[in-house]
Amino acid sequence: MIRVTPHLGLPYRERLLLGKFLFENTMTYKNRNLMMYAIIATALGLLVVEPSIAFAGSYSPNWSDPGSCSGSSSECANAVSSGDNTAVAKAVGAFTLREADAHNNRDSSSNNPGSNPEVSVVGSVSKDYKIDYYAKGYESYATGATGGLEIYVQAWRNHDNNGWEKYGTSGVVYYNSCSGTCTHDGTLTASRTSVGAGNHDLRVSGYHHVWALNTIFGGTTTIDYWNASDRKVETEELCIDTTCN
Amino acid sequence: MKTKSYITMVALIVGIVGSMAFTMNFVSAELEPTKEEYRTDYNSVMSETKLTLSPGDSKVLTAELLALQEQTLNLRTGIALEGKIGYSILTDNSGLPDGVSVTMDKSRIDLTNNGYTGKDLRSSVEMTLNISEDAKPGTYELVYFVYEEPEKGVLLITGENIQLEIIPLS
Repeated sequence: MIRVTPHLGLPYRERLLLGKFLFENTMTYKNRNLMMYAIIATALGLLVVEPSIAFAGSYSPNWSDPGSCSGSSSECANAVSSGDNTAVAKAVGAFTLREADAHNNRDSSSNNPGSNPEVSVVGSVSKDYKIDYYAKGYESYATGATGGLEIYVQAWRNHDNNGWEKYGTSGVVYYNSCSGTCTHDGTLTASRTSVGAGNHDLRVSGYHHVWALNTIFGGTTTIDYWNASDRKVETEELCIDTTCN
Repeated sequence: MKTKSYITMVALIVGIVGSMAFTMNFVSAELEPTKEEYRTDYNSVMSETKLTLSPGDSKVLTAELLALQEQTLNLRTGIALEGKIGYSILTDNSGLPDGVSVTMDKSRIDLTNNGYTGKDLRSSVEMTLNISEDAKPGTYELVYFVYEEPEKGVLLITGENIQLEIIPLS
């Protein structure tokens, strides 16, 4: 569900002030026709332009409701029903990986994929590679007890074409840092070296994970895993890039 | 007449731009949450990342820690199933599959600026994986991780994946 701002983006008080300002100034100018045009244009601008601004921002989160996920996994089934309801956790949000970058340690200008920000490089290397990546998540969750929001990015390597191997996981965990409905717009930046010499493909994937304790020292309620396309995925799924095609 | 059209056009443009400015101000203030940014520029290298063991087996692994030499870091170590890292840390639960246990020779790594710069080997951790007789065969994705707490309520984690396959005794 995309968030819509139904009141033209202006809080009520500011809209009143704007109207008052325009009215008073109209009355003091000789060319009232011109001011009428300006008022009409302003109104049109607010009506026509505002929605596009609301959707165009970097923080249009493309909300999804984990309670209505289409998968049949246990995580999906448990998302809203498991536990003893002493704690309630619900997560919505989006997660993207951007500007995954891999380059040779010796020369950061070479082998840089640059224009392909979401996957990295294929190359023959004789030295260790470094892979830099960051994850940016905008997520909101509500928890009634101890809970955590976690964002992870994972580095994969395909060594000498022997298959993909997940060799690194970096993450940030927010816990008990707020109560009620909590939102984090977090950027996690991780760098990694020593994938080993040889022919490598390097890629980055990511997932996020929200949980809450059912009781203070109870079990965990897994809520959801999402990929960058807002499709629910299992962590075990071989999601070797951010699209999981 | 031309002047009037020109004025009308200018008024329209001014109106639209003005309303955009108003709208951007208020909408961005409303939607934009507090931003946080964290860096993990240290990582470990595992001596082995794919293991095949049977019930009753044990295996010693070494994790070398690479970190910037100019950094002061107070790190803690742990191991858990992937997806259970935060849960494992916050509940002091091992987060490992039934029948799998791990002992480590250190649970903390404290590093201070050593006068050099750049990333280098700064510490290593030796761990022993023990597979009990009643461990359930299967493939498990484990993560050995080190973490720091940059501030209250936030854990910054970097981990190395270990694929553990437990096969029945033949």
